[in-house]
Amino acid sequence: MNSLGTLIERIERQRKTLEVHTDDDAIVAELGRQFETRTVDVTHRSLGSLDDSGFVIVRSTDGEFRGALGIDQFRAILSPQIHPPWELADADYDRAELFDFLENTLFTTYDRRQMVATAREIEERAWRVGSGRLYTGFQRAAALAAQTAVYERLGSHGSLAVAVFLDDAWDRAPLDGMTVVSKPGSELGEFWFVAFDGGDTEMESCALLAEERRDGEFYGFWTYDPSMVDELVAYLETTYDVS
Amino acid sequence: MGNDEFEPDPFALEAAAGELPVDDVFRLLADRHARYALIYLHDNPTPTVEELADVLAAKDASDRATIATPADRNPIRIRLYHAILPWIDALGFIAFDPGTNAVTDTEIPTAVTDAMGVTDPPP
Repeated sequence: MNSLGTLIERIERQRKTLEVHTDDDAIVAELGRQFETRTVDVTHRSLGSLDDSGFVIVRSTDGEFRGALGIDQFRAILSPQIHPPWELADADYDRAELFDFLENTLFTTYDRRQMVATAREIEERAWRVGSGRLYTGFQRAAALAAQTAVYERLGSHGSLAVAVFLDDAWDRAPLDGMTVVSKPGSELGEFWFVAFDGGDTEMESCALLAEERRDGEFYGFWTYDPSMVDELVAYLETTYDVS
Repeated sequence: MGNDEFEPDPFALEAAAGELPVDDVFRLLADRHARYALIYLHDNPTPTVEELADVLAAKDASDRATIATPADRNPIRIRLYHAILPWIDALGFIAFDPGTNAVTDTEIPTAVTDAMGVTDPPP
């Protein structure tokens, strides 16, 4: 990757298919609406006599079976208000397979509140692990100013290495326990990101990356894929002065 | 429909005694995946093995409120190819072509679909 935007473009190319097996047209319409802004094709198959409530099959770009689950359960996962993805991730399911569909899938209309909630999940994960690197792009100094208490706590917790990234200069009181990276006029003003490399536990790595395309409207994805998180972290370290 | 405790309707099958190897059909219907395959074949007469494996894995996930992964699907596909479809073929309910990995024809006796509790939707 040579910019934050290229990582989002790569996700855009991973088009997936959601094959909905149901005889309930309302469900097809609902899932179609839910995914119309994502890089997902929703197709419909009639269910027949096989099942009562129906199921969904997730396919990769080449049509390969990637996973399947009952519609009731799928809808539960889709409601972040009920089940934040990270909470389900700690349940009994095989995390990588379960979230392969929803993660690495673009969202196009997250608002600031949804972004904060998702970012908070990553920050809490970093707090629980207490080691590793937590890199957060705040876009603007004012946004960091609103979070300094939280980030100073994170920066002094365990052996967590915290770096924060801004488009403008940080001219307020120096912050304990973290590196502040400022690069005026750069991509840092447009991207909100939180990346945690999991410390010694690769399974804990996760990241959120989104571009603010309109004021308060974010376009991006979240991921558990350790290689993608590593790539983002390495990109930040080589592009900006993180040390 | 279609859980592990499934009991085929014996009366539906007994009525077809003489025309069908009833004991064999009972054994077939006692196999969960064979039963699901028959139900799907009833609605979709010419599927590929891949399509059947997808749907059976999804049906299992729906029944058990779990997620079916490619690792769950693979053994189902292998069993369909090597055991279930040849078995149904031997009973004469389908024509299975292992060369093209596809079912080319399906004609399931009404006594068998009745025994599974499958009813056609009203036209």
